[in-house]
Amino acid sequence: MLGAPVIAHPGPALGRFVEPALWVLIALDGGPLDLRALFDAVRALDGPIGHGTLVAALSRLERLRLVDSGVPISRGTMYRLTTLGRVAGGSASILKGRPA
Amino acid sequence: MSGLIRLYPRAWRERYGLEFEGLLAERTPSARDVVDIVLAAVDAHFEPQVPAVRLPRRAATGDRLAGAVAMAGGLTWCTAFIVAAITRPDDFGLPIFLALGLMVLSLPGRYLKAFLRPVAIAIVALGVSLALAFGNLLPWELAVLVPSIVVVGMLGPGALALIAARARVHRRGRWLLVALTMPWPIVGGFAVAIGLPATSAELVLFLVLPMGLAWIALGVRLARGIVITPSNPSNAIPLGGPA
Repeated sequence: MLGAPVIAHPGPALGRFVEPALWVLIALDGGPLDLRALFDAVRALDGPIGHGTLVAALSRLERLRLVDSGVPISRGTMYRLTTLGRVAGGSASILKGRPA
Repeated sequence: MSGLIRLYPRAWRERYGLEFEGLLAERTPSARDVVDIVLAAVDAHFEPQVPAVRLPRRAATGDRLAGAVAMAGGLTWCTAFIVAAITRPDDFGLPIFLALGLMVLSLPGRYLKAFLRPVAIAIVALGVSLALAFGNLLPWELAVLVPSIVVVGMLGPGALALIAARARVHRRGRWLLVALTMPWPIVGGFAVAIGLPATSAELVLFLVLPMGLAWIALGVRLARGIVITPSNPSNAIPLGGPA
């Protein structure tokens, strides 16, 4: 008999940052970005996201292993989608009506 | 704007602080963004996403000892004035000198060396006034008061800044500490010296206690040890003088 599937519940983990987290996933779907570029990309997608909200969403995505950070470059750390994040990013794109 | 980062928990600052500071510098936040940052900082405290790694505190034996001596100095200072305010003894110079001596003792040699001249002046003032008191040329009250003012006025601020530096308090923090605690004993001392009627024991207590409390707090900080983290400049071991 198969055990009950383990389902991750990102809702409570993302809290009120679900919406900005989805935009972050969509923004990173285009490739790795540093924090400033990510900020600009999300703002271009979704309007005036706050600095604090962006990093709060990003930190949650990192904790959920949907995003990881790469080798630091001169302007800062590069953020990119993990394999799981790419799946989630694709879903987010569809949900937001912005297919990659 | 970078001061906003201080609202976030330490672990968060360790992870995102530099990047966030860069973002704030390059994308200046509006008033609305500032509110967003404050709310996100509150969220980071209540729902921390970055695990707080508890790094071991490190305290050299010398620091532990110095911290204990500084604490003892502060405690002696506060206790002496509190007891004096209650019992109103004729002379309570000895515990005050003991407290000041402990405070000076808690300073390591290299810091003390940077502050040699005021230390020498304070010691000479102490010696001269005690000698005059022994020779009945100076009332004991003044013999206690004069060196106290010299010690507290000249040595006090520097010594406090030195022990704060040893306890790895930020430069701005050190100045703030000195500014908040040191003027009052000096003001109180002069007020007593010129015989102002407002210098009740309770008032003097309020004037002198902050200095003692500061020494206790710094002693505790020093004795507990310092969390050394690579990106926290407040933990850099200061090698310079009190500034």
